[in-house]
Amino acid sequence: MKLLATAVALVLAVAACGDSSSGDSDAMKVAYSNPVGAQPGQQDIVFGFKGGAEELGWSATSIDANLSPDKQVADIATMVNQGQDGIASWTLDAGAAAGAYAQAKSAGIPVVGVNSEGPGIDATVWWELNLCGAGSPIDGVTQYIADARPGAKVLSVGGPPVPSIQAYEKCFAENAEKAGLTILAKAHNTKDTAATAQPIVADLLTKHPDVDAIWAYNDASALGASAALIADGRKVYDGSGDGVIVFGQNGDVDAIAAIREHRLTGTLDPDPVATGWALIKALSGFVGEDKADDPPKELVVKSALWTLENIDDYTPPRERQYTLATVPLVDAPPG
Amino acid sequence: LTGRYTGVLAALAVVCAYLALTEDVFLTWDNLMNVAKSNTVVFVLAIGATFVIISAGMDLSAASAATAAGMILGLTMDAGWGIVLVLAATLAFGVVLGLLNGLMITRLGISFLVVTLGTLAIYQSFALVVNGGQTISLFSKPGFPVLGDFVNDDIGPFPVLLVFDLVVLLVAGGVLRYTGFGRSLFAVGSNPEAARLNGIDVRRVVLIAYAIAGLAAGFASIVQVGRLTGASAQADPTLLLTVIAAVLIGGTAYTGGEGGVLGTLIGVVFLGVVQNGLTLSDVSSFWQGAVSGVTLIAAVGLGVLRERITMRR
Repeated sequence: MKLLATAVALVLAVAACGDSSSGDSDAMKVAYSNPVGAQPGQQDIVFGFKGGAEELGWSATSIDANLSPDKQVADIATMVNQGQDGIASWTLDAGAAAGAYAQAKSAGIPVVGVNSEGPGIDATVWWELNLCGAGSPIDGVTQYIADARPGAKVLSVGGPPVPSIQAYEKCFAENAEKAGLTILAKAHNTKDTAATAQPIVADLLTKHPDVDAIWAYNDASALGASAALIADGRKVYDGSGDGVIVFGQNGDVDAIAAIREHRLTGTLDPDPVATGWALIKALSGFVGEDKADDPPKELVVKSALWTLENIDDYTPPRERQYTLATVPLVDAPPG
Repeated sequence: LTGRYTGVLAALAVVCAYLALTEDVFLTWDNLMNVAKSNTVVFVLAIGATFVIISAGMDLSAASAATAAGMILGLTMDAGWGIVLVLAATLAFGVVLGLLNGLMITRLGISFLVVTLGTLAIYQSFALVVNGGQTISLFSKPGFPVLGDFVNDDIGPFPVLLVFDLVVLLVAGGVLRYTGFGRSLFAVGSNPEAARLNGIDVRRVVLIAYAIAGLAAGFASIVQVGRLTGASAQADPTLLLTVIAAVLIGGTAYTGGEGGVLGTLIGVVFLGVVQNGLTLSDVSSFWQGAVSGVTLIAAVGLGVLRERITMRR
């Protein structure tokens, strides 16, 4: 009898637990498929994603694919099985992920891409940095170089053969040509670190000692280029006087420090924290109380160009105060 | 320089001749010194790896250990330590990492592959964890000019780093050739059981080999941090492969008991010249791995062929 009473009590307790959790299930659950969690920029996206979710009373999680397209597919399947209400994803391989997104779609779960589009993606949050054409951030960089050094001779440092990086390189080449710059050489820092960019740029400096500017697709490569210049006894241009202009992209903390130390001319900051907020804003058009009949298919997060001239205005990503109403978005420039 | 080095020296001569004919800048003093300076990190790590490979082992954690030691350098300099203490702490940390590998291999009897594969991941994680994955910028720190001068200054027409490389080469070569430890290392690598029966303390010799690899990681980190003006938590993902390839291309047998630091120098120079040549020739860096891989297989294959011919005689 005592055993039966204990069993009944246990069943009631479990049932009570079930009741309490069903109350939480009314809250929206959203998840972000993080392509590489170790990257500070991605950590900032997650930070913004959770901040935006909190404003709406949603719960937010992220799963790290650690640069593996296979794992990302499995992660999306896990999110579907978890019963997430919305999924955000930075696609590593559009072909591989399409099946997983289709699985989400058939479960009625909207998918918002980050700088990613393709089958199964309902809307995309773009970085302004990823847009090309007149008035785009990369156009701003080429104009800066052309203003400081008309007809400048430039080195272009690209990266691994990933479509988004190749698009940066193409965009820079197109805008450089329009601005009257001459690209002396195009190198690729396929290993993606400052340590590997340094010898590549050092080699190019011996072949092209008359270089006026170096553009790199990310800050690590730009810092490697900067180190090569310093090792060669040269000065980096800081907005006045002589020196080689060096630009990177990403707005990394060490790039900001390098600008302050006159080791880097500038960096394009895509604002990853705002990106996280924008993902929630995009998802809220598909699920939850603000669900719209025709939600926007594209949101573009404003990028900032930091140089020594405006570096005093820089606010570290996690200290930027955003709300879903104030997240900095821009219209896509033409082109 | 015949025998073991013939193949790689012939290949190096062909590559140099081709680059000299096609690239005006290749044979300039600036470019040659640039090749020397750019490959010092690989060279120093490869010297450490040569000791380990001669002992019939392999240190897969070498590049990660250098990254971790670099973070110690960055943190201590950032904290305001004097430059002598900073350098001492960095080198000591490298030795400790090497000793950890050696102790687990010799005292716990775990395979060197398992131990160094594990510590590869652990040391890399350590480098990421200690500063949240962020690079430590040292450019404006009071101690940095000493480091900057070390990696960028010249002594007469020669870079300080080239002189440093030569000192490392002579010391390492001297240890291998003229000390009891060096002779014991070759004996242990050839046949550990025979070495033990001859009274050699095999475990001690192997432990010292890994400690030397750790010390090399410490020195490599000093050069790396100096050249990059900061301590980066992210290691070059292919640095380890380059280091091991340089040692094997230089004729050190992966089976142990045979090799030397002169061959390692030749291997490093060969890979450095190939990388420099590909960049100068505007050949996509996507090809570099293929060139290094083919060279590695060819160099080791030639060694095997030479061994077979010798045995037949």
